[in-house]
Amino acid sequence: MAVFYKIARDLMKGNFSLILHAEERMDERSIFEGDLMNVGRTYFEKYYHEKRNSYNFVGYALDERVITVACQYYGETLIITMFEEEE
Amino acid sequence: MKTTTIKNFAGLEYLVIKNVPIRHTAAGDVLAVKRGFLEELAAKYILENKLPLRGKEVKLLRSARHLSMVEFGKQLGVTHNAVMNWEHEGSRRLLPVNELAVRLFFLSEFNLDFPKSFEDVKCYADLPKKKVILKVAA
Repeated sequence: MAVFYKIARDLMKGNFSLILHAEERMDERSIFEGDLMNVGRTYFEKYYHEKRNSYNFVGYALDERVITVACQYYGETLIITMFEEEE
Repeated sequence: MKTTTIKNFAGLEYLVIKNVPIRHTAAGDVLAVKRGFLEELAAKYILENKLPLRGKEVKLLRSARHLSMVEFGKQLGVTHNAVMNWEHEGSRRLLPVNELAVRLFFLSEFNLDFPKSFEDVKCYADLPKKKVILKVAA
């Protein structure tokens, strides 16, 4: 549980690095840094994705779209990736 | 430091950002700058160069200031549905009166030079026909 809270806090403060693939996804889907930070504030679902070894948060973008962000710590760096639920 | 080029930044077909620093991590290459920094760079370019404002540009400007549709609408005196409609029609240019209001609002938000006359803020330009290349300073 503590990991989820730590990630949510880092997410909402913008303390994360974006993997390049996620950056491309964001451009394709018009998602912005503020949207990711808002997920840290508004998430209504969180789960550990065993296959991807990531902590996933489902929440609202600033335009109220539902988005999922996948988070992993590498050392002290929180790395964000994104994927569609069905992938 | 390694760098990369981002094409179609923020979904804007004309916008390319070069010299974006990246660093290698165990998870793969990551941006070595805040994405918000790039968003602000693009937003300021759009405002300073008086590019036409379509839904896509409005979304970038709003998001770069971390404003929700409701917050932005309140500031501008329109409903969040109005903002949603603008952004939903991403490739359609705003009505001139709306474009003026949005432009003035964000010039103020980004602390950019405020126009001295009405003529200065009006925008008759078309979208750039060539790619706009922004560079991140080394």
